[in-house]
Amino acid sequence: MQQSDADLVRATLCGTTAAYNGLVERYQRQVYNLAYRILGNAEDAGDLAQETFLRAYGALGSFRQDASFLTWLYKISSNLCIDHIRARKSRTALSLDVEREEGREPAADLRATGPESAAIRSAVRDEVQRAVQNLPEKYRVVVVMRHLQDMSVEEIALVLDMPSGTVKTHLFRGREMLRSRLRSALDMEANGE
Amino acid sequence: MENRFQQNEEENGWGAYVTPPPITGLSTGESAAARGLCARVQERLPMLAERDPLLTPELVRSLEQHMVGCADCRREYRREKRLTGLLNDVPAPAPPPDFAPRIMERIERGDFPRMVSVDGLARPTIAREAAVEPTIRREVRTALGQQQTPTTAVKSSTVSPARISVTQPLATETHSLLMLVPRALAACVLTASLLFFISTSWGREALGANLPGVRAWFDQMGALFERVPLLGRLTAALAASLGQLGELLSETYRSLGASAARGLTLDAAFLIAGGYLASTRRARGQRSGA
Repeated sequence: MQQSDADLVRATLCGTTAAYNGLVERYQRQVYNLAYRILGNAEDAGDLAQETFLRAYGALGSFRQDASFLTWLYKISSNLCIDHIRARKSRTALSLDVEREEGREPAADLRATGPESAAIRSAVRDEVQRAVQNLPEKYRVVVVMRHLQDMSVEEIALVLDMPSGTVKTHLFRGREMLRSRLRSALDMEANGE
Repeated sequence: MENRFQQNEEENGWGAYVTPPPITGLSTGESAAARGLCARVQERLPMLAERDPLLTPELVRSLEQHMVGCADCRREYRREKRLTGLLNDVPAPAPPPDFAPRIMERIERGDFPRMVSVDGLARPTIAREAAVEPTIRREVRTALGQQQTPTTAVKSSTVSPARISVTQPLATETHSLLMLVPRALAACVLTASLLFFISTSWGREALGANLPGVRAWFDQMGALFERVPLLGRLTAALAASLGQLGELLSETYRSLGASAARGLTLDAAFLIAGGYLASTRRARGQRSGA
């Protein structure tokens, strides 16, 4: 029978380091994906996901189990990602947001890529991923958690420590921005029906 | 698009959707669009696309009815559904194969940040912290600055784990239990010595016989301080340095944990009071005998 998270946490705290390996293997995919989808970069995602598990290990004694272990990991991970984005933002020269603010349209126009095919599907996926990454940080995190990680609004509110009304607002705004940025892809489908 | 949530969106946000007002006069055609109904319908389309359980069946029916005759709203709805589909379609790559082994390797090496609390979900309680490892608390206070204690809840939105990392050993339950053994021994020694003074005739003698002498000594010192005020100030300085010793003692008490310290203090108070009563009675008996 599979050991519960609480059992593995307890065993780790009692000195069985190998028990922590069970927790890492259980949740590595979710944590890595959250980081990957927020950061859009496999290398950074790997580093931050690793850092998430190491920090969780270092603070395991303070984990009170009033939330699930995965929620706790998400919280650490999202904090690390937000810090990383902020640090990166200060280094990045010009983002899609800035282009928008300055009245310039993003270059990609999916309708120009021709008939629907596997290549177009892949291009659309890339475009969606890019559009998500170019959302302002506060909208990006909730959109990723809600749509890409399939978390409930309440869970997101708990992880991000904000009221669920604010989470919904951010989702609404995020989707609105995505709709406008992915107009070509959306219209291609909508007109196709 | 008109957004009726704009005014106090931060406060209510989509919360205003929690009990969506019924849309009256939902109908098709240009007249409905002219009255802004389309805008109101389109605000609800993301929820409809996601089949949000907060939408009542009646409202879902109303929205769908509206879209039957409204091409604009139908197109918007398709966009919403397509957006949800596209977002769900974003690939979920697997972590590299050596992901978990690399983490475990770093843990084995001790190469990981030691944390007090990584977020609001991981607040150590005072009692637990006291039981775990007082030297950690001291080091943490030093690391965080005297004003900040490790019990401070850290809001994830403002402070990230990176900003509160400290360098103390990992506190575990095993560790805390091991550390309690010498403290329990110290408590036993202290209690035993107090018991010795109270229960043995030698101890009572030492306490009782000296009391008048000590009192007389204090009287003499008081008189001396009155005559030489500087001496009084010097003695006060000496007492202050003795205060450091008191600090050390109180730290020992704290290390026993709050409840153990309280219990021991109470024991000691009772023993001292009992010893004092016993010795004064004995001294009185000696005086009356004499």
